Order: sequence, then structure tokens, then C-alpha cells
Amino acid sequence: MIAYLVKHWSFILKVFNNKIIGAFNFLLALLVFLAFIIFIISRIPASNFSFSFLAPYKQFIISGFLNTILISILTLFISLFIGFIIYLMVDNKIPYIRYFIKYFALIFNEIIFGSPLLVFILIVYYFIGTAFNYENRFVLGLSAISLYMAPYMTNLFKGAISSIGEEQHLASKVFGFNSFQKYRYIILPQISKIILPPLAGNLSFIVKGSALINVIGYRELFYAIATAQSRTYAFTEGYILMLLLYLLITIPLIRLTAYLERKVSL
Amino acid sequence: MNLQIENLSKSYDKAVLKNINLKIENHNIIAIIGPSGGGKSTFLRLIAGIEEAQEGRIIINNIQLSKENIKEYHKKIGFVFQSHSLFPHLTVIKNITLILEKIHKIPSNIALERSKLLLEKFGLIEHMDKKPKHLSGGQAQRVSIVRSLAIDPDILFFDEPTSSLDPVLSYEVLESILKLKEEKKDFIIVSHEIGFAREVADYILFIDKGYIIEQGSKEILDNPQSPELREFLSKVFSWSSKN
Repeated sequence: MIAYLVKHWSFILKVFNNKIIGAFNFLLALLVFLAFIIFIISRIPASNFSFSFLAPYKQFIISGFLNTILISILTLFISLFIGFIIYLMVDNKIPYIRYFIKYFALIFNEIIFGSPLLVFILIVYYFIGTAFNYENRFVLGLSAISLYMAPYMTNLFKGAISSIGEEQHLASKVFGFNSFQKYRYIILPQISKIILPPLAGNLSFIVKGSALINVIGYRELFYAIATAQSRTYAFTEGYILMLLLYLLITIPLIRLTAYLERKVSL
Repeated sequence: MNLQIENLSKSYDKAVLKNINLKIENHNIIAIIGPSGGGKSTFLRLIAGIEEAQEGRIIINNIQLSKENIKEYHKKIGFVFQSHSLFPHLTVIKNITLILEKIHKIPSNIALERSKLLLEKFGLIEHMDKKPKHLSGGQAQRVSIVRSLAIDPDILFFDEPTSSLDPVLSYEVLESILKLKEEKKDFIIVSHEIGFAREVADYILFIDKGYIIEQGSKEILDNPQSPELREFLSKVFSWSSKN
């Protein structure tokens, strides 16, 4: 037996070095995280830990979970649209008001890049919303994250469009394409593939950011669980469940980003 | 074609073209030669209306180029760049038909027919469903020529169409350009292939340091008057004469 092992040692090592050892190490690393979580739970003073406390709020939490997904997907599309408009504003060639439009867009970008999302949401809801006598939490929350994400989308367009060679811009000009035709037939079809990976990345950013609109009382995941917690006192269970549910959305997105990056680079 | 240029100047950080005046009448093929950085590509881009000059007038076939008519002008010219500049997301045939259909409003079946005919003529029909990245440099450049030709332009412009190709591929591209001469197409070509320029052009411009230093028929190559052209030609031909 030992002689056999010694004889085939290098082969055994080789097999282990491949997938099996990879999976083993992955599980080991995961276990360390689990052990840490169990340790933390065991340190909680009154340790009657059970998710069943939250059971009465199951429906409430599920609808919060779905609201988070809904608002994230809507934000993705709206911010992508606004982001493209901002890109066009920065890049515009309209006579006379060209620089006015450009600086307007740039000032907006500066403000967004410089302010925390939480502050921005509060200002949109309590000041801008109030100024217009409008208080729909869903619409204002959605607007706040969409506007906040838009400049990030602009950067995404900027990066992708700059990857298109100067000669293609010249070619579309000399063949008589107008701006709309250039974007419609030449630029957008080419960048739609390039922007997919960072777009999936931005979506997970949006999902995480959406937790902050609980401060204006919109019933997304954070708000739903926080409400359940305040009524059941199951704080530990609530936060763990919250983390797990967010990871349930974001980890597939992160994997998707990595997958798309590989695919696009081929 | 008739080409008239008055007081044309263009500068980026420094002056590239300096107060150029020119009058060419009834010549079909114009070749522009000269050392790199002398301003010949800029000159071509100005005449093609891709870039704007700070000063001067360009009158081509009795039309003065201006902001108002540049869009119409662009529909009547073709331009072939140094590298092929085909749209990479479209197949060869779509690269041609897109422009015919969307810009020139030609019905898709007629556009397809016309494009196929031209690809056939230039020996490229077998590549019609390929994406540009699956073509050789020479093939891509020839498709680029067909694409410019498909709109039936009044004038074609070539900006060093073979500068990124090896000699064999250059040869096949130059062959295609020669075909245009047989078809009686008017064109202006910037090229460092002096032998080719002599063969194809009926008028030659030598541009250096932002000026047109010499111009005329191919005789200017045999009997250069200026020290600049003499020096340029001696450098270009130094290798071939040594062998």
C-alpha cells in the first residue's frame, strides 16, 4: 500500500492539484467563514437563536425582497438611459449652447460623485420632493438612485465609446451618417457587448445601494426586515437573513460579471 | 475633375498647411506625394471635407465647400483610409448595404444586388458573409474600396491605402485601384508608392513642409526642379538603385 502510494505519489499530487484540491480548498475557506459566523452567534448573550421568530413576517419579507429586485432592475434601465443622455450632453456639438449644456452635465456629475448616496436620497425625498409637493416614496426613491447611478453609467459609455477607433467616426462622417444614424447603426451595436460586464457590476452596486432607500420608508428588503426585527426583537436572525438575501442576489450577479468578462474578451 | 484652392491654411498646434493656392482643371487622377509629416494627408482631408481649414476656400467641380453643403458633398464622395475602417460588427456585405440603404435610401434588394456585383468584380464575393476580422489586410482594404465605390461617387479619396500592408498585399490593393482608372473614375490618392503614382496619375502634387513645392505631370518625377523633391526621390529610390 505504502509502496503504491510512493510509486504513484506524483500522479496523486497532480490529481489533487487539479479540481479536487481546488474544491476542497474552496470548502475549507467557506468553512472558516461559517465558523466565524457560528462563533459570533454563540457570543450573543441570550442565545435562543432561531429564524422561526421571523416566520410571521415571511410574506412581508418576501415582498420586500421582490421590491428590492424590482427597484434595482428599473434603476438599471433608467440610469442607463439618463447616463447616455449625460454622455451626449458632455459630447454635444449644438451651436451656441454647446458649452452651457456640457458644463451643466459636468456640474451634475461632480455633485453626484462627491455626495454619499444616503445624503442624496434624503435631499431628493425631503427637499426636492417637498418643493414639488410630491411624496411618492417609490418614485422618489427610484429617481434618487437612478440619478445617482447615471454618471457611473456615463463613465461606462465613455470608456466603451472611446474604444471605438477614430477612423470609424471619420468613416461614418464621410459616408454621410448624421449623429443619430452613427449611434444607431455604428456605435451602439458595437458597445452593447463591451458594456455588459461592467453593467452587471453596476447592477450589484445598485442592489446594495437600494438598501439605503429604507430611510424614506420604501418597503424594500432592508425596511421589511428592520420592521420585522423591531416587532420580534430577532435582531441577530434578521441581520443574518438580510445579509444572506442580499448575497442571494449579488453573488450570481458578480459571477455573471466575471463570466461576461471572459466571454467578451474572447 | 476641377479643383481650385485659394489661400488654404490649416494648423493644429503648429501650422501644417501654409497659404496654399492651386488650380487643376480636367484631370482625372491626382496623386499627392511627399515625406511623412509634410501635410499631404491633412490636405486630402480638407479637400474631402472631413476636417475644416482655418482659412481659405476649396472649390471642387465648381462647388465651394461650406458648412451648409458638406453633408450633400459627403454623399457624393468616397474615402478610403490608411487602415480599412470597415465597421467591425457588420459582415462585408452589410458594411456596403448599410450605407446604401440608410444614407442613400436605396431599396434593400437593389442595394444587395449592386453590392454583390461589385464584390464579384473585385474578386471578393466569396468573403461577403465574413466579418472584417476574418479578412486579410489586403482583402479588408479592397472591401473598403468597394464600399466607397458602391455609392457611385463623383470622386474617390485614398489616404495612403497601402501604408499598413506588406508588399504582396499592397500589390493586390493597388491592382484594385488601377481598375478604377479603367472605369474612368476620378480619384485623388495620397501614396508613398512613387512607382504607382507615376503609373496611375495624370497630375502629381509634391507637398513638403506645408507647401506644394512642385506640381505637374509625371515629368516632374523624372526632372525634379526643387532640392526638396530631388532629395525625396533620391531617398525613395536609394534602395532600388543600389540593387
